[in-house]
Amino acid sequence: MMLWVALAHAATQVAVWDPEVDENAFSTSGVPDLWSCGAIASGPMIGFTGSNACATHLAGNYSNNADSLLTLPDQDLSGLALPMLRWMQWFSFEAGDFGQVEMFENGVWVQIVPVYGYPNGEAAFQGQEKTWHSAHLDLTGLTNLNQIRFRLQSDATVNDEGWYLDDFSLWDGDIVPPRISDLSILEDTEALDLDLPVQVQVEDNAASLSIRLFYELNGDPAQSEALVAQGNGQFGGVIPGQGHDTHVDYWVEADDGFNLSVEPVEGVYSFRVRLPAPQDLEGPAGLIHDTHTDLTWSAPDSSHVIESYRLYRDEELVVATSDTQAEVPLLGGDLDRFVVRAVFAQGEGDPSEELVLNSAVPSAVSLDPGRVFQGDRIRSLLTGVNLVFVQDQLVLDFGEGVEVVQVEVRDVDHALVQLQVLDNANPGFRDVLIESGPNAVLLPDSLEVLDGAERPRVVEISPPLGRQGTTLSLEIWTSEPIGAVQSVGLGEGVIVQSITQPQANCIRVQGWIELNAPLGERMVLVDDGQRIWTGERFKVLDQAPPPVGCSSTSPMRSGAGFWGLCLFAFLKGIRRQNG
Amino acid sequence: MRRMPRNIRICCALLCALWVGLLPGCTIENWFDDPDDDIVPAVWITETFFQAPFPQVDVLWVVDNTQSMRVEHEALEQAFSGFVGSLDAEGLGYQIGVVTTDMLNDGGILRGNPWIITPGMEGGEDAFADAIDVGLESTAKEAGLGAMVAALTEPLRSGANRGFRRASAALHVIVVSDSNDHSEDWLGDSPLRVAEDLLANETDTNQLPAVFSAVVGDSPSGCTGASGSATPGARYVDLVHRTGGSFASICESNLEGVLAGFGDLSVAYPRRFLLANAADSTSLRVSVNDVVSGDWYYSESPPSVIFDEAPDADSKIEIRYHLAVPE
Repeated sequence: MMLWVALAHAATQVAVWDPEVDENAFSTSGVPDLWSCGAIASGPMIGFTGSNACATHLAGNYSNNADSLLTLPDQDLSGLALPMLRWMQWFSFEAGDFGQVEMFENGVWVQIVPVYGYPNGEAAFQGQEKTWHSAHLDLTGLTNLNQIRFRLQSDATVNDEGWYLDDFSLWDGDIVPPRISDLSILEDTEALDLDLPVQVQVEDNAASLSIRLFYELNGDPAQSEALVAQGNGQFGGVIPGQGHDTHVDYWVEADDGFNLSVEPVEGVYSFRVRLPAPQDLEGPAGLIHDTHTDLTWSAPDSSHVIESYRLYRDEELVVATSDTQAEVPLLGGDLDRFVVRAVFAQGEGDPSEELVLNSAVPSAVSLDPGRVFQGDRIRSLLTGVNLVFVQDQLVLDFGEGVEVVQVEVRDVDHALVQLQVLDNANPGFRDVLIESGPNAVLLPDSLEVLDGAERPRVVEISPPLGRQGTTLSLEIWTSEPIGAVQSVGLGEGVIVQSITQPQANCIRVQGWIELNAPLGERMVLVDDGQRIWTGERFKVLDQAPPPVGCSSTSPMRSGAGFWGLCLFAFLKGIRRQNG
Repeated sequence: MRRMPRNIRICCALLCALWVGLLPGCTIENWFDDPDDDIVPAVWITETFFQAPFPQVDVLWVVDNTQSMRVEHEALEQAFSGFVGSLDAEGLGYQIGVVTTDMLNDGGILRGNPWIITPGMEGGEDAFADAIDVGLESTAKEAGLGAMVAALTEPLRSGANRGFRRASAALHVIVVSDSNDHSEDWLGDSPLRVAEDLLANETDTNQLPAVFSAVVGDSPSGCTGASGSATPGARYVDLVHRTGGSFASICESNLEGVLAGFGDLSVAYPRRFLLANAADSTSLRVSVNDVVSGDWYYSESPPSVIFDEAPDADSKIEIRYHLAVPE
């Protein structure tokens, strides 16, 4: 064997037999003579390349009690230093049936073993391997390829799809890659900074092997080290100890000088060096209608001492605690996605599985308008989210000097609030406390009280008075342009019939004053839907004086007329008495 | 002593005659009122209301969440924007909630987050889609009327569904199902009567319409459409007829057009204005936009003024009264 290795050299292909074009190159025999080459319609349904293959039955199962033979073509092997045969195969044998490779030697056919033997240490190809895969045969010592045949033997009961062969090739040189198996599968570990042993089993038909362990740390360029033979084809080495939160990808490469094998064939093996994560992070099920909620979790199973826990939402630290439960503030919608990490002396551990809550967080959004003046009477629209406004269950506190006159809930998210700002209310920003049923929230700095001197107001009423029983026509002037006026209140008994706005800061009012309208002054209220403008008073006087002289209808309705008449008679009497 | 001249005597006699009120229209009060004196006000209670700027309606969707409804749910999600569009076009102040016909698992609790959709809400259509995305896993009997009654009555009305039903809003219930109602387990032997009574009571209490509409299988034969077949929704259709609602076949291909028409049923301004106290009905004075109104009547239970016709949007309603004297 050592001599053979010394003679090993790069392989060259000598010949190929593809059933696609060489279907008649093979010879068949046996009882029955099952083998044939051509297009297949059973087993793998197509060849490894093309549609043809050599099979124990091109379109069905092999027969019971079969002993069928496929002999390779006539091909001189003399002159080849290291003749090797490679072929592709697919098989499915029923229990008790099998396939094997035989060599004609010393006048008889004897079973031989392919490189690396039959699968699973069996004496022949048995069972199923229903994918196309390669196999190799060392032809050293043979003079012609027709000294090799493939033999199917079946028992008396039950059969199967059989044996399918394709793409035979003859090589001079080592074409067999090392076979790697039993590579250590490393799992996530909390063993920080400890070397991690790796072992692997490697076979090859040559003796000169270079076996290396490759590993990548957190995606950095790969490092490698040679694995050391430990006997019986086993090789070993270590991945150096790593700190917390290290992701390790690793694989093994075996090189016999001509052929390279990699394990795993596809991808890499991976594990992490990490401090473990807490388990069972839980919160309330279903919709959470609150600003906060309680979360619980279990301590991680770890040999390290846990110092505390940290709860994160979107990588933002929310709570730090030494307990396995905590109250957390909620943001609402799908924003409440939490993880918890344990904090060890060595650092912060892995995050738990993410907990996604379905939360509806009561919050106040706005108060519009939010600027008022001392002495103002104004309506503001309060908008909330998930506060669930309900008429008669909405309580608002604007602080000293601002009184809530009326609250009208429009819907669960909107309420119209009528405010009376007292003349002595302290100027500046203030918070609003909103209590809506079980929910209470603070809307900070939502109302600004401004100096009353700047308050939009009624500055003039012309005329400022009117008498009972007369028509009304007056103009109201405001300190600044006013919006569309909804109503003008002149108090009881003063009926407003029409309102026009000839100028931006002037309102013209038509109407009448009822005979029984209460006498005296009353504040004029001009409502533009948002602010109730005040500032001037309107005065109702008693009934209008009668026309000069005696009225036919009511000559004595006017006190002035009566007293005038009396005074005239009295003076006339005195003058007559005196002389 | 000289006798008082005749003119003076006449004047004094005239004065005395006037003093005792022989001349009509000249009262003591008027003679001596000082215009500068404010009158002493009576003890009045004044309550001021503002008519809603737009009609309000609470729309309760009752959606079948059994497996057979998969295609209809997709169509319903597509049609919802048209429905909301029709409500917006009518200028309605709506609140929309969704329950399922599955009383066993959902029990009439409004679904979704948010569970009440209001005008202008960001993502309202998505919220509706989420709400009707009810999983289609229910194997419970379809109990649409049971779900409606549960959603609108205690304990849910002031519990989990708090805020959905407003005293100032009309009510429109819309059921979507490919099956008839099976609410006997929840409403007893006469689900239809219980449901009808509930809607009638809603109408009486708020003096606003409470109607029921249905997108179900045609009655009495059922129907077959592109999305499958439906058994007759006979009980639902009956309730539609009793409440003046609207019916549409669930096999109708243009569900969006059907739902858009439903919005028209929801236009109603409040007529009833609840008082904070029981009033002496003889003392009541009502004005709308400062104009005295007589087109109203008083209801003692609950104390309220009910207009014959709803005041216009944004109207100021001022109601003055004395407290009722307890018997």
